[in-house]
Amino acid sequence: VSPPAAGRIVHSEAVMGTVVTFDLRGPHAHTAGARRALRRGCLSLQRADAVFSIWKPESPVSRLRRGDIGLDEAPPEVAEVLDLCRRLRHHSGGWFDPWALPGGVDPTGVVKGWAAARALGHVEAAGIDAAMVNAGGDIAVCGRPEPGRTQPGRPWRVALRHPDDARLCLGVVPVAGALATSGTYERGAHVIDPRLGRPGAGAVSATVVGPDLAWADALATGLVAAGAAGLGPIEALAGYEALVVRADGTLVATGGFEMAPAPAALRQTGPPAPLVRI
Amino acid sequence: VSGTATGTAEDTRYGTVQVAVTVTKGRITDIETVELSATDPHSQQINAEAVPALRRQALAAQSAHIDGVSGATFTSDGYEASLQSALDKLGLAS
Repeated sequence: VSPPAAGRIVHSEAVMGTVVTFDLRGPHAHTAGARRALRRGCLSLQRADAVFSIWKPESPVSRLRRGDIGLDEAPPEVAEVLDLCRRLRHHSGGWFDPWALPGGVDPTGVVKGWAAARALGHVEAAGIDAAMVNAGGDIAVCGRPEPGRTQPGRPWRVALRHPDDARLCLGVVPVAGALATSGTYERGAHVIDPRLGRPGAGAVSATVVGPDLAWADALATGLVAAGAAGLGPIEALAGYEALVVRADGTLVATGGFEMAPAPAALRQTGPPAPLVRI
Repeated sequence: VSGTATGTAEDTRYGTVQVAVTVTKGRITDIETVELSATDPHSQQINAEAVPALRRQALAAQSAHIDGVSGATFTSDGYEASLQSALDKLGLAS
């Protein structure tokens, strides 16, 4: 949530079963070009929802899952996303697998991140200096939020919700490209373990940072099923780092995962949970 | 930017939430809950605990230069959407 300020436009769009917030900053944020880019970004999210939603019975992906249409009859972005899913299945060590789910192929674990990254692309292409798209906690950024005249300024800062308590934060993570969190809290155990074919219990939440939000989103989804065992494949990916919160509250992270303490008002009382590096 | 504005009423899994925000010189100084309705006791309890915390969170996040939160909740999605719509109104009024 961001208060209005000079050189800043904030817009919230209800889409894909969540709220997507655009935060545009810098001298070009107030231009007509920025408003057009924002509109294009919102339309691209609405289209992604219409094409990929498995909760809309008439969406192309729902029809594909039922076998009503073939892949060649679906909009071209469906083949693009399924191709991405195949690569992500490989790079996640098999922990992200849209084909392992009951009911047919389900790219939901990557669509929100993919769509938000594409929405940010519309804003970036319009020459906006710095922007953040936050799709219900899946976050893509470009530029820096407070650029100075001679220095680039601080990075975007994202607080991670505490899995046990929505009122608290685990810590604050600097983000240069993308950050995604997946968790079993609130929605129940909604991540299926592709190796068991039923809800996994590897982690209560997982966060992935890296250059591409579609990748971060899918890898975080896979990590919730995998738990700390899924960190190895991510450590091997250039530019990606990850954090897993286990059911006992302990934290396990890849070697380069950066996190600063949460502000005092949002921190859990008592000693901080130990963080183990793989 | 200074002023007060009421946000949109947002429907969440746990009922409807609507807030009003006061901004003084570009900073949020207060958030008031205008509407908070839920039909069942479970949702009422969730809201009663979540809403004061969400208010505290929004104010603390601002002072700590936090640009976003990852890992949100249904109540917080609605709270944040209502709050953001109130802030958007003030942005337009400036």
